[in-house]
Amino acid sequence: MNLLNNLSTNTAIALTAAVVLILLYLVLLWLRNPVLIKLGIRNIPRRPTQSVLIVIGLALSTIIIVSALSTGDTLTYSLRRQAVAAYGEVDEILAPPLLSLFVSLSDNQDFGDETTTDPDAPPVEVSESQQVLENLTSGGLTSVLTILEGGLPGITTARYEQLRAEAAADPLIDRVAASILFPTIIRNTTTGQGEPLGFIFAVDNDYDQSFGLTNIEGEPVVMESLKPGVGNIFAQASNLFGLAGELARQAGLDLNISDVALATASIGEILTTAQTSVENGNLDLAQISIPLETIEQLGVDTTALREQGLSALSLASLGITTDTLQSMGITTTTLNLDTLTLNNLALGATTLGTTTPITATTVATPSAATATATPFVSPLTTTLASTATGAPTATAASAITAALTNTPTPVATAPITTSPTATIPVATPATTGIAGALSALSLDTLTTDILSALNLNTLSSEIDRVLAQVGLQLRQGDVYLNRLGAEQLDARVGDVLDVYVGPIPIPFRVKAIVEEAGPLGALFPVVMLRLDEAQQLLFMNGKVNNVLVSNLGDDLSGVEHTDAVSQRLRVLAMDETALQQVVAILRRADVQPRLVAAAGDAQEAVMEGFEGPQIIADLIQEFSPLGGMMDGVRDLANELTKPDVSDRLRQILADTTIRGWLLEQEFPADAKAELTVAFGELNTFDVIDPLSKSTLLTVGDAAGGIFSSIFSLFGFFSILAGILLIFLIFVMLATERRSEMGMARAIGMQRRHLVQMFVAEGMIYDLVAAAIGVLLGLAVTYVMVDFLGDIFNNLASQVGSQVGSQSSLFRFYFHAAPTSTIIAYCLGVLLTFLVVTFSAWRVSRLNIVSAIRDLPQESEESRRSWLARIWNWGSALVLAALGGYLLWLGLQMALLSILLAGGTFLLIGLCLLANRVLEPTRLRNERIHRWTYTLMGVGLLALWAVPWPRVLPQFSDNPIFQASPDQTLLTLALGGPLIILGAILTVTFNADVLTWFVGFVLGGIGQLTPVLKTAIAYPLSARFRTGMTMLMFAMIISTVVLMSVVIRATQTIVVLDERETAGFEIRADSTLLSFFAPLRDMPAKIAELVAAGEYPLLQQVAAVGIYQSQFVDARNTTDSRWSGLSIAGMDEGYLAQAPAAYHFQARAAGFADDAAIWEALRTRDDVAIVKPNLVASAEEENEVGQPGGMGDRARFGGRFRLPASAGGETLPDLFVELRAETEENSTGTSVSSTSHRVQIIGVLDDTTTLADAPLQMNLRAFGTITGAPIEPSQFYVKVQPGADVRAVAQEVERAFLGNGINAMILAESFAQGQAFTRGILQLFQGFMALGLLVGIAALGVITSRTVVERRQQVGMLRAIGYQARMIALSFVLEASFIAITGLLIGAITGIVLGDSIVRTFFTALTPETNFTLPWGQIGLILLVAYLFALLTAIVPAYQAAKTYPAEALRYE
Amino acid sequence: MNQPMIQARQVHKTFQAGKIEVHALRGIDLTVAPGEMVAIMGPSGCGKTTLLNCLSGLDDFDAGEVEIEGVNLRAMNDRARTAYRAQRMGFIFQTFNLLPVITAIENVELPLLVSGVRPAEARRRSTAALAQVGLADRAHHRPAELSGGQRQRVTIARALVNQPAIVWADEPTGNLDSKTAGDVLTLMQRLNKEKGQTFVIVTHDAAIGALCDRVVYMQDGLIVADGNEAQATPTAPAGQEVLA
Repeated sequence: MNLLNNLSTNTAIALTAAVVLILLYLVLLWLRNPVLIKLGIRNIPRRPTQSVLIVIGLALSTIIIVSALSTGDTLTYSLRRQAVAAYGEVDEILAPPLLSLFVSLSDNQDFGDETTTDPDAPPVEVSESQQVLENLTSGGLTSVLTILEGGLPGITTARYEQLRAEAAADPLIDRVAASILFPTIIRNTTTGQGEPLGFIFAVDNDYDQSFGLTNIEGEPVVMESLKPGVGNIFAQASNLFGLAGELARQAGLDLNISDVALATASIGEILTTAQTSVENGNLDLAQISIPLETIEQLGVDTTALREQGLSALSLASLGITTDTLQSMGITTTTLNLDTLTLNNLALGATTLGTTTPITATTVATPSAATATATPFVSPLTTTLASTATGAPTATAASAITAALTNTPTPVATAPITTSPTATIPVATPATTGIAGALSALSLDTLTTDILSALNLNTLSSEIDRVLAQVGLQLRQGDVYLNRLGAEQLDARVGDVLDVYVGPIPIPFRVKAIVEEAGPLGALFPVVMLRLDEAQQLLFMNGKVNNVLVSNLGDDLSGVEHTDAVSQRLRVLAMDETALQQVVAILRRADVQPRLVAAAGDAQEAVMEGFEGPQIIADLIQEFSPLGGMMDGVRDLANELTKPDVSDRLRQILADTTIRGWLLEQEFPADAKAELTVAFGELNTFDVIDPLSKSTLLTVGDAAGGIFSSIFSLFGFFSILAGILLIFLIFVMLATERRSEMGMARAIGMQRRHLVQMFVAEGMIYDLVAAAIGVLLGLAVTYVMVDFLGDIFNNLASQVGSQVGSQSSLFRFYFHAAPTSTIIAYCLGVLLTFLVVTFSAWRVSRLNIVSAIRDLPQESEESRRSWLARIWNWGSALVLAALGGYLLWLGLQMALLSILLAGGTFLLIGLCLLANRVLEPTRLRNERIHRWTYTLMGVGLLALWAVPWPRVLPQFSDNPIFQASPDQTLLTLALGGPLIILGAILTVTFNADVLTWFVGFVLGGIGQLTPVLKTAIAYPLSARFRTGMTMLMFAMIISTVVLMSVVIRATQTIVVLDERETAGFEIRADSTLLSFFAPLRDMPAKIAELVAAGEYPLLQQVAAVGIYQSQFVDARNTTDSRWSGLSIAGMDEGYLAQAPAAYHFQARAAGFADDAAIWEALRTRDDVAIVKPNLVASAEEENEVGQPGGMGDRARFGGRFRLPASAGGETLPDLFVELRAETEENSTGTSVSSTSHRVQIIGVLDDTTTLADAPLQMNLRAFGTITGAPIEPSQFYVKVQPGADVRAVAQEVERAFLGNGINAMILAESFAQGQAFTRGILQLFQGFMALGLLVGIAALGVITSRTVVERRQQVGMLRAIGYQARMIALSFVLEASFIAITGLLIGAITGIVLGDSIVRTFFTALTPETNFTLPWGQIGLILLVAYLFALLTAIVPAYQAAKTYPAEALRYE
Repeated sequence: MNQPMIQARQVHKTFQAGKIEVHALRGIDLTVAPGEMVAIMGPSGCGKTTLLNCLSGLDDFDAGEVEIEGVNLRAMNDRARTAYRAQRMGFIFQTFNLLPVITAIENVELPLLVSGVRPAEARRRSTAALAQVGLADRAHHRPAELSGGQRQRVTIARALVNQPAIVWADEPTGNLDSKTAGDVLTLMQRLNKEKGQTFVIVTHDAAIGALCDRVVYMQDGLIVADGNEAQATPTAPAGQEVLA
């Protein structure tokens, strides 16, 4: 299905094949030499306990592998399931070409440049959709008008029907459905919770019938049952706009489009506000009567009412008398409509982030205008109905003309129609004309005002409210809300949502919470609307902007056809006319020959660099995306010669890479231009690949793969420990059977026979162990998945911090793919097989005599061989030499990690050399080894465990100690294992000192003395075994402890460093929806809102700051070259906060203190400050200055630097020239744009600041340099002391919801990040702790082995008077010695490394922060690990103790 | 010295060797007086070692009574028996049975330390014991660094260091060449005479029998002859072994 899947399937197959081969080999052995196999296998039932322990030990690696893989599987599966759940049957999504242009726009910011960068290129006609796009993205009025005039880009219904017919004929396509997807802001008016980014997903019956739609209870729901909302009014508004323009033209007025919009806006405004004057602002419910026609017009089914014989809706007609209401405590006249409506309007305006000039003016109710407006006022819907019928009345026309010409001509005409609503008396005529209203409009607010004027929603919303009190909801249409949306908005069925169309909130009621809400349903809140409703709301009549395609097969199997179907759809997408045009151009006499030639060249160019066999070349062609294109290019030339347009030609031209290739060819300029235009028109829609279900599934697979890898990586130590354990087990088994094996060799068995015996035995353990490992590993995953789910969902609930809702963003479904299980099983088997074979091979090389007599193996044999001697001396010499070289290199490069590595190699090499030199002398080898290996151990510890920079502060200026984080990480990665190795060497070669010490200290404790003595003496005599076991414990414990320390660090730093925030507490971000109503000046808006008494909590905002940053060209005034530099501009609010957070290490002359610098930054545009990293180091400067050095051209690697002289405490006079980035900066000579000179007046003492750029100035100066308008997308808010940060953040978000502003609490998001990191770390920690089982099992195996090995010695000890409990104690102490030493070494290593990591990466943990190591937790980990280790040792120890001494003696 | 050092009556012992039940001791009666040096001889598998194990309390027996210094072994539990062994008994084994991981002197010290003697005192007495067997200069060598004879002498030093009443020796010369075996035997005899300790030696080495006060012959789990050296007739296989 995809590469990843294939990979794992292939791996599984290969591994299975390998295992099968091994099994076959064993079967063959069995057939050829059954005795051998029997001999091997007979060992298994001999000691059942031991066999069980071995199996458990062997299973551990498999457990770790299987849980790593299945955790990844679980993630993959959960993602897939989520994707499939959201997509349902949808496999591909088609969109109008414009949307794909949007995508390319977001990918490529230079979109606009493409046509202009090349001055020699012929002027290229911009395609229509490109034009529309540019209009749309220009922002402001133009975009709005583009939408109003042409509607949003889309696929026409006709085109869709055509596609539908074509799709029906395609065997691979099951179904299609049209839809509209549009971003929106959604607010739940019932609960008050809002989401600044959600989506409208509108479909018709095709969707629920073809793709299925169910609510969360699993019951099917249909789109048809959704009630439409105010869409029809929107459609009328759109008509009104068109009408106004038409009337203006008829009146002979030369108006541009914005005038028309303005006029329409004014009319709409009057329509809206005149309502406020109803009966002096007092409304008597009882007077309201709405004709059923009006209600029907609003899309409400009135059949029931008609059946009741009603013609109008009023309290009276419903049989509700004032008395009845009064008896219910409702007074019909207490509603003050005036204030309600005003509030409502103000609210609407505030939501838009604008003041309300119109409202303000019109509240005074213009008298002349009233007359004009009258016809529109009360019988609004009737008027609209009449305009809708396409019969504009003269009255309307004249009214509009009056409005447009600013002539307050009173037109005293009667209302066009009479309607029950006309019974509401019209209030006092107003005094000012529309002129006033118009003049009050500034162009700044034009966009939003026009839209707010079109906000017919506010119109008669009071009527709705009133009606709602009698249980009627007239104007609210229905929507389905997706599950995620329901969670994020805390919405239930019946809640009313404000769904924003642009800046206009439109109320909809949630009819059901649904499961499949389209492709975005898994990521965002989605409201599902009727298609016709959305078309009206979005001015997209007769258009859709998405076509959903379902492939043959069910929701999962359909994915297989995605590639084929996408290709087919691309062919279908082409516009026939444009296609013919393209083909005609390509067939032109001056084009076709060039094309044929180019196609030939392209073929050769690809294959030119490749000289391998043809089959590989074919493979490359097959798999590289270029390959398919090459085929296309080759065929294109042929297909063009055929008559008409062949299917293959269509296919080729549907490929966008080929179109790109064609445009690159050297065709005549006019042909190229025409081709460009034709290509622009060629696609009537695009297949949006990134939105295909298969893409999502691939992403899921990749994520799972990454997770698996991370887990495997973290489990690596544990797997390694598991392998060591297997090795240890088999080495011990071999030791146990030495005399047996010696005997077997003596009677003529070959070495390979011994190996085969062992392998046969090993494979039996192995096959069983791997199976058990798989089962246990799956169990481990099952537990972890639960934990993972908690972490993710905890995060998810915090991501929506401002709403604090408990949502489950992501649900984990336990899943283990069969391939993973097979891979893990086979890997487990193979790993063990390899280790067993190796250890068997190793032990098979025994000396027969010494084996039979069970004497220590003499290594003379190896020592005699020349090869061995060369190896022994050679390796030592090479290591020493390499070490020396690395030392030299490290000094040259001034890199601590290289120095340390060099030291390590040198140390090991020299110690080994010392061994070789001293071994032939009269000194006892034991003593020599003790000295050399101790030296090695202590040396390693000294090199890696000592924090040199802190021990030697006097050298802290030395560049070697200037650690960078990546260097530290490298040092840590190398350091961990080496510290452990050093410690283990030191301990195992010197623990007899410990024995002595114990004897000395505990001398008086009687019978314990000999027990302690043997408990330490035994492990020391088996150094390899002891060292290995200690290594396992130490390795695993060190990682677990390290994690503990880091986790503690994340817990300690819950408060964000002030340097990161400049003292601000809240960040307010623009979102996608801010496009419609961008917020430019938040402080001013807040001031207005506060002044207006809106959003009372905004009063607690103490400061708002912004900064902008941009890449510019910079140079020192002494330089000739320009280099790139990021600069930041800070506004007043930011500069007010900064002095408290940031300080300077150097100031220019004339600036006595920090305050002087900040003051200068505020008031002067010719000064700037820099971060310390912008100052060149002496080394950098030397290098540049050197004759034959890097030279001017490559100064500091092309980066801008201040001269090193700026590193002192007082800054010299430093000036930097800055200018907007130009293309020519690399040539450096021409300075086209004007530059701005600033003086550097301060060097900050730290690189961490909120503003991210290294050179900072005030916003004015910044604007001068960049020349671009300041359009901040982020605002930083500081609240007043004592204020509730969360409440203020919520208030900010509420106040600017219409601007799509999303507020977050900086400290909180930081803490959440920490919490998430912590959760993941804990999971990894737990995973690594699995490895502890390996160490514990190892100890168990060793103890039970030693019990068997030492039966005779135990018998002897019992004979000379050791009590049974002393024997047991001796074994337990022995195991304890190994475990405790290993654990302690590991713990200390972990603490050293953890501390180092914390110091490097958690720099906020300054000395005053109270960071203490998690001693309690570390202690607990050690204790638990030790107790478990003890448990495994106790059983064999008990067995040893209860043995009869004579029995033990008898055993040989 | 009226009380016999060892008094065994009708000792029976069977044990399971795979599926076959072996009746190793079929009713042994044996009395050993204090200070006696007794050799138990007989062909392989006659039950010599089993008898030694049963008498010394290293192993349980099925029927009969064994009294050591008048104390019934059956009446003692494992702890008491072990403590008794630590204080009153010494053991010499054919395979030396030294702990390989500690030095000669530490091996010798073990029984003292187990009996609760203070380490300094234990070290002093062990040094003396090693000197007695002529190994003072090898005190700090590990067993692997000693020759077979030296190892056996360490074992003897260990067996005698706590001045036991009884020393049990199971084939003490089995792994030694004849010269060394002779040295070891002379040493044991000398100690027996000097300290008056009781020696029970399981052997099929006629030379040992010849040096002992008394030789007990066993066959098929029964004592078939009991008498002093004069009465004992060396068997053929034993003689061969001496020559080997």
